[in-house]
Amino acid sequence: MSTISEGLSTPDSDPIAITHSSTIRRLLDGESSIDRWLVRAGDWCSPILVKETRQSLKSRQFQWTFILLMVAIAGWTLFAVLTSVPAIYFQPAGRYLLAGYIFILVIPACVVVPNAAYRSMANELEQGTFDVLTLSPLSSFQIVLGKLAVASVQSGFYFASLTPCFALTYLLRGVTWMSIFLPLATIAIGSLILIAVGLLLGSLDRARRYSTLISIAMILLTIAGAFTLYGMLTGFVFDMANTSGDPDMQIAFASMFLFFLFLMTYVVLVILAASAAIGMASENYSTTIRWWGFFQSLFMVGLCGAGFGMMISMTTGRGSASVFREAEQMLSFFFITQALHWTVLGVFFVSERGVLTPRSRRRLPATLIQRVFLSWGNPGSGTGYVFILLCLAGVILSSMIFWVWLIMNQGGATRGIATYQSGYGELNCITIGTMVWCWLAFYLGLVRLFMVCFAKNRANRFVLGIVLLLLFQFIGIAGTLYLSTLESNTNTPTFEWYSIANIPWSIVDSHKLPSGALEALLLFSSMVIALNWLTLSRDLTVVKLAVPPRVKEARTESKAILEDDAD
Amino acid sequence: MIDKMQIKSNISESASRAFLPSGSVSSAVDAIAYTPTFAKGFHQASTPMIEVRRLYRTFGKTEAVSDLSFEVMAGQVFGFIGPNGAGKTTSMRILATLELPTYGDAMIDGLSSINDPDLVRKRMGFMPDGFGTYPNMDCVEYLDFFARAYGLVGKDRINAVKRTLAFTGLDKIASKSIRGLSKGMRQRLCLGRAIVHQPKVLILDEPANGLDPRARIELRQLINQLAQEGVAVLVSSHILTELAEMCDQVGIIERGKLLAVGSVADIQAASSSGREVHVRLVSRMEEASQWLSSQSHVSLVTVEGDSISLQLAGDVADQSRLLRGLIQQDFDVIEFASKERSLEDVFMQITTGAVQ
Repeated sequence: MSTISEGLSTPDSDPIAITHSSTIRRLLDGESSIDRWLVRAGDWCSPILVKETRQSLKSRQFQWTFILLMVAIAGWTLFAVLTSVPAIYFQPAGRYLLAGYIFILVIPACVVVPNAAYRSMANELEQGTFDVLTLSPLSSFQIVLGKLAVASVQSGFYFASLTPCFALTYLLRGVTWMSIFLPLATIAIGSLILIAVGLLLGSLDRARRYSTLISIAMILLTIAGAFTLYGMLTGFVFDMANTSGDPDMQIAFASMFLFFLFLMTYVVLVILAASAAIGMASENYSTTIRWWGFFQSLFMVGLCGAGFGMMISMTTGRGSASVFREAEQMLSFFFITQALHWTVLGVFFVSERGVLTPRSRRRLPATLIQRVFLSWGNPGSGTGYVFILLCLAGVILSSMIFWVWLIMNQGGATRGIATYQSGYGELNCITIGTMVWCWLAFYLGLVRLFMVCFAKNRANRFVLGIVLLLLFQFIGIAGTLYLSTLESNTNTPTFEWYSIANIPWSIVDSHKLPSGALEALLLFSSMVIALNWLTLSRDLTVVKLAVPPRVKEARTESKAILEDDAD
Repeated sequence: MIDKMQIKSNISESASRAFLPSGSVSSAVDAIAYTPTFAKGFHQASTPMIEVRRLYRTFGKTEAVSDLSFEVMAGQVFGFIGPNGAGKTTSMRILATLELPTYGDAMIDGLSSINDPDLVRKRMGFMPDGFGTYPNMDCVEYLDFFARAYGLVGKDRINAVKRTLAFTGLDKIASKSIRGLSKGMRQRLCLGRAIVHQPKVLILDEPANGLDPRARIELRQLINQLAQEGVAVLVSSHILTELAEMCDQVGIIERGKLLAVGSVADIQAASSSGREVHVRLVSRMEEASQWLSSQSHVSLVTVEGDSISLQLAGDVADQSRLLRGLIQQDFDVIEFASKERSLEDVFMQITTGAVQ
C-alpha cells in the first residue's frame, strides 16, 4: 500500500498535475525550511486567523488600500517637504508632517479596516458560509476573536508601512517620541474599538433584514470616529510640543494609559456580545457578560481610587476644601458613568427570556453558599435585575468609602466634612449616588415588569427592551416638564417633587432639590423593586442538572483522542 | 439484503475507479481509502448513530416538523423524501445543531444535538442545501482551514487534507480558486469539508441538487462508499430513483409528519395493493379481458392495443396461477410481465402534495 505522499507523486509529463501537486506540497508540507517552520507555527495559531489572513491579504480591498496608502504617503511627503523648503533647513517641520501622516493612517485604520471587519462578518451570513463555519468545533468567541486579530494584522501592515515616515518627522524636529507614540497608540485603540463594534454590528442581524441600514450606520460611525480622532490628535500633537517637559504631562500620560486600558475592557465586552450573538442557541453567554461587566466596574472603582490618590498628592499648597470639591465632582461624574454602564448592560439583562436549557443548567451553582452568592449571574430577567442593582450599589458604596477615607486622611471625618462643607455646602455626591441607583431600579424595573406581564414569549425582546426604556425616559422627561409647566403661573417649568423622574434636569438641579423629591424617588423605586421581587421566584428555583453519563463518556473519549494525538 | 449489499459493494468498487481521477496525480490514490477512525471513541454499535425523538418545530403558526421520530444505524443510508416545505431541511438543521426544536430531541452518537452541540459537531459532517464558499481561497486552503478548525494539527492535518482531496477527486484542481469552480466541483468541495474530520455521521441536504447526471452518479457512489466504511448517512433528495438505489431505509415526510418509514421494499409492499401486470396476446383481446376480470385478486383490467393491463392483488404464486390459467384457456401469450410499483409511485400515493 502506497503512502499519501507517494499517492501524490506526479510524473513529469502532466504539467497541470505538477502545478496542483506542488501547491498541495507548498501549502501543507512547506517547500523550504522557512515554509515548513511557518506551517508548523500555523498549527499553533487560531484556524480562523490563518484562514482570514489568507483571505484578507488576497482581497482586492487590502491590495487597493495598501497601494493608495503608499501613494498618499509618497504624495504627502513630497508635498510637505517641497512646500517647507527652504524653512525646513532651519525650522522644525516634524509636527506639520506628522499631522498629515496621522490623517493618512486614520483613514485605513479607523474607516477601511473596521468596515472590512464588519463586511467579513456580514458576508459570512450573506454568502451562506456562516452555517458551515459554526458547524466546526470553533467557538463563537474564537471566530470573533480571529476576525478581530486579522483586522488588527491588516491595521498592523498600515502602521508598519508608515514607520519610516514617523522616523522622518522625528528627524525634522518639532516632535518628541511621546508626541509620536501617543497618537499612534490612540489610533490603534480607536481602530480596535471600531473593529469590535463592526464585528458586533455584523453579527447582530442574522436574518439580514436591516443589512443596508446597518452598513450605512457603520460607514457613518467609522467616518465620524476617524475625524473626531484626527481632530483630537492633531490638537494634541501641536499642544504637546508646547508643553513638553511639563510635569503635569506625566499625569496626563498616566491618565491616558489608564483610559486606554479602560476602553480595552469595553472591546472585550463588545467581543463577548458579538460571540453571544452568533453562538450556540443552547449555550449560556449571559453569565460571562455579567461577570465581565462586574469586573469592569471593579476596574473603574480602581481608576476612581487612583484618581483620589492623585488628588491627595496634589493637596500640597492647595486648600482642602477645593480638593474635596474636585474629588466630590469626580465622584458624582463616576456615579453617572457607572449608572450609564449598568443601564446599557441592564436593559439586555432584564430583557432576557430566562429559559435555561439543560446544557446551561448543568453549570448552575450547586451548594447553598454558591446559590446565595452566584445565582444572580444565572440567565433570567429577575436575576439580571438584582445583579445590576447589587453591582451598582457595591460600586457606589465602595467609592464612598474611598471618599470618606480621603476626608479622614485630611484630619478626621468631622473636621474633614466640616472643612468640606465650609468650602462647598451640600454633600452632593451622596445625593447623586442615591438618585442614579433609584433611577436604575425604577426604569429598568418598569421595563422588566412590562416584559414579564405583556411580552413573555415575544421575539426581539432586546429591541423591545431598548424601546421601552427610551419610552419610559421620554415620558419621565416630557411628562414632568408638561406637568410643571401646567402648574406654573408663569408658564415656565419649575422643579417640583415629581420632576425627580426627569434625569437630566434632576442632575443639573441636584443641589437644590425640593423637599420630598428624593423621598418620592426612593418610595417609587422601592415599590418597583418590591413588585419585581415578587416575580423573581422562577429565576431562582431553577436547579442544577447532572451531566448525563454519555456526555461524560464522550468528553473522556475526546480527551483520550487528544492525548493519543499528542503522543 | 445480501444481494443489495453485494450490489453496493460492486458499486463501491467501481466508484473508487470511476470517481477518483485516473492519471498521473492520483495513480496511486486508489490505495488511500477513506477509513474513519472508529477505533477512537466509537459508540456501541447497537445504538443508533442518528436518533430523532418526537421532534417538533414551529415557526409562528406553521408546524414545520411535527412528531418526527426515526433512527439510523452505523453504515446505513437513510433517505429523506418529501415535497418542498415538508420539513426535511428543518429536521436536518436541528440534527446538525443549527436550529433548536420546539419540543423533542435529536441525538447523534448518543449525544443531544440540542444540549451538547459541541460534542455532536465533532462527530458529524453536514452539507447544507445552500452553502457558501470563500471566494478568495483555493480548494486546498479551504479544506486546510476546516481541518484546522476540527483540531487536526501537524501530520494528521496534512494527511486529512490530502486524503480528502484524493477521495473527492479534487487533487487535480487543488490550487484552483473556489471562485472558478463549477457547481459540481463546489459540491465535491463541500462534501470534502463535511468529511475532512472523518465523521461518524453525515447529513446531506439535497447533495445532488443542480448536478449533471455524471456528477450525480459519482456523488451517489461516494455516499455508498462512505456508508460501506461505517458512516451513518442521512440524505435528502427530490430524485427518488436515486434515493431508491442508494438508501437502506427511506422516510417519507409531508407537512412535517413522517408518513412512512422503512426499507424501499417494505414501503412498496406496505403501500401497494398489489402489482401491475401487463399481458400481450396475439389475438382474442376482449375475450381475454373478460376472463381476466372474472378471476379473483384481479382488478382494473384495461385493454390498450395488443396489451392488457391489470392490477393483481396477490403474490407471485397468484401471478403464476394467472399465467397458467391464460395458457390453459388457449390464449396465445407473447408477454406476461409484472411491474412493481416504483418509489415515485409510492411517494405519489402516500403524499398529497400539500404545502404549508
